Amino acid sequence: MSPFPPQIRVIERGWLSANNIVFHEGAEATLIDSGYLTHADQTLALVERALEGRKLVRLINTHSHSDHIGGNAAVRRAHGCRILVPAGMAPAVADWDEDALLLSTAHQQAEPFAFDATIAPGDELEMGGLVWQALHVPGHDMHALAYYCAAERILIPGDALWRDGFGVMFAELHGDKSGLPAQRRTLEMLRELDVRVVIPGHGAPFTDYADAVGRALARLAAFEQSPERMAKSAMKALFTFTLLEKRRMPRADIGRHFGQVAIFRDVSRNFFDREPAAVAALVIDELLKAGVLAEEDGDIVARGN
Amino acid sequence: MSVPSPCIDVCRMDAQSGLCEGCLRTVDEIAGWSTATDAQKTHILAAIAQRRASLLPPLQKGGRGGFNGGES
Repeated sequence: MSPFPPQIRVIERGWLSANNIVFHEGAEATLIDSGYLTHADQTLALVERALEGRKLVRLINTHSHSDHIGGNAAVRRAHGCRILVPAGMAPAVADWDEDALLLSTAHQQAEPFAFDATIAPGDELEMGGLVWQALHVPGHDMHALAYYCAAERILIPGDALWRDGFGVMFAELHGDKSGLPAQRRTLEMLRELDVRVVIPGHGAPFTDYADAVGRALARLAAFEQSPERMAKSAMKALFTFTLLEKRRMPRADIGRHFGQVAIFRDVSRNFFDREPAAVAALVIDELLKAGVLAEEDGDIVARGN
Repeated sequence: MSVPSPCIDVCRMDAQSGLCEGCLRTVDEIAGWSTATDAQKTHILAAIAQRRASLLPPLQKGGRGGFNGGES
């Protein structure tokens, strides 16, 4: 049995594209997050299916990362909908600042889009005939918003909380020491909410809320104790993301890739005090051992290839 | 919620087969995954295995580039 009211449709995607959530509102509909640029055609097909004949009038983002905003422009082209973004990310989108949006720095893609309005922390908005409160959930993204429906006890946390963990601490990786303390405040705030079901940015919806917050806090504590552990975990996540898009890379090229892409290069030097190529070798070995990636004819390949 | 999604992040529909080139699901199967029961999900996974066995070889023989190199 679905844990959601019938007007909420959750489209579970993978890691390169964030989940899409469609809210039926009479003859109209709202969408949260649009997936990754290279998946835009499938996103449009899935959203079309979930609309069930309704007109998409609004697209709302949880935060500014490429796996959540990559399809914004395509969705607007297809539906002519309004786009609402968290207020904190608005300047970076308006200027299409590829550094601030972590596109150039992490070798990721998104298509520029225009937005029509912003959502500030504390704002209330109606989606699917329900009232949702926008909650500031900094940490993974310092401007991220979660959407919480108290009446139905549903939380849409973006990447601030997953069933097992949370998104990469980008601010910390870029040398901003406020990232981990922000994530702690975020998790401690979320812990106090009365939540029946979570629709995370990635992974299946889940109901074991207290346990998930507990797991996230334990992971955070480990990162607070060991910045290197945080950095290694982030490098593995980010390189996996890269491979999911490229599907395969010659092993011999990956060291150079780490030297060229800002986040890999800077984190290698700042957190490991090692050359990017050495960190690349470490990251690849651990991902191969964990079975996340595989090796084939001298190439490192994404799982399922 | 215990049956894992077969998504491998390829996420591109093949126009001819109507299936995702990565996970071999239809649009309806992907869009409906999060509300499918475990039994329905298991049924979809079995269907995918059948499609993989029956669909992929002819597509590869036909030299179509759409399946991302196909199975390793």
